[in-house]
Amino acid sequence: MNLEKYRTLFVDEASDHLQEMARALAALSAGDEPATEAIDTLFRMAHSIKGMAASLDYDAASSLAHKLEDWMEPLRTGAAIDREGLGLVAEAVAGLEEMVACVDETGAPPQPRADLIARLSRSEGRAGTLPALQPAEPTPAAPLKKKLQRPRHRRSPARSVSARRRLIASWPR
Amino acid sequence: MAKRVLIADDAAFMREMLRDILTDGGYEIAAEAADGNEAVSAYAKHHPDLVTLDIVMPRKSGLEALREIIAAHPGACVVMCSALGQEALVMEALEAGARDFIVKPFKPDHVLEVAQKAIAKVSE
Repeated sequence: MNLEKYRTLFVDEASDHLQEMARALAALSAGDEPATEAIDTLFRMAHSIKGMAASLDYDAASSLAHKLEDWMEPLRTGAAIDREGLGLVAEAVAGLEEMVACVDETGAPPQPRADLIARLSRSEGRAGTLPALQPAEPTPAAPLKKKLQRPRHRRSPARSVSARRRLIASWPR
Repeated sequence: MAKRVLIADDAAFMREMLRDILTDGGYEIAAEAADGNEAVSAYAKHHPDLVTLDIVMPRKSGLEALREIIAAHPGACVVMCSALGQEALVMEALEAGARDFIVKPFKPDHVLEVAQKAIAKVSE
């Protein structure tokens, strides 16, 4: 296997998927598109990142994407998500972003995020019991959308590691 | 003559991986598709000897595309590509006419073995 070719493909495509997940999260938060569409996008992107990461033996990224996929499964059949749940998904997406950045910058497999996996595991199945997100809520939706519409992550030498870390830290928790 | 394959997967990464494995194994790539709609159109246009069809795709899922392909071309040789945890969907696909399935991540030897057996079944 031409590892470098696939590593580059992984970074490029996973970055595109993470961008799309951020857009879907913002849309879900603001009620800009039907929740089923946004959730389907989030699920498919996580599924795709899981497969790519597993192909390169990036177990940390594959496990986190898999856990996120499992966490979102009830949402695909109509369960509601609240703001806390949205924040957790945003954290998982940010965790994946950090892992992709690690591969991009160092070429090394990313480190596991046991903390995030544990939190997703603890609240797994909770999505179906939480009160639904109210898209019309005036306060948190707009800032959340603004925060999630971050610049596209690309292999750019102009963006330093610390700048990327700050960007990730600005995501809603 | 090399057998011709249609690769359908929404991830360019996965399409590239399958392309490399299959061409190294002596197959010719007839076309690639990034969603179920493209897969159905590409099948009608190219009539490949084999289709590798990802289950989770946008716009039209692999299962929906499989049903349309089989309805229009009952002899189509389709192998589903799935991930761990999609066993129920794989069973549904096999009942709908898929010849076999490959679980990601792809292992070259296994992909080639499944492809060869699926095509051989059609030729019997």
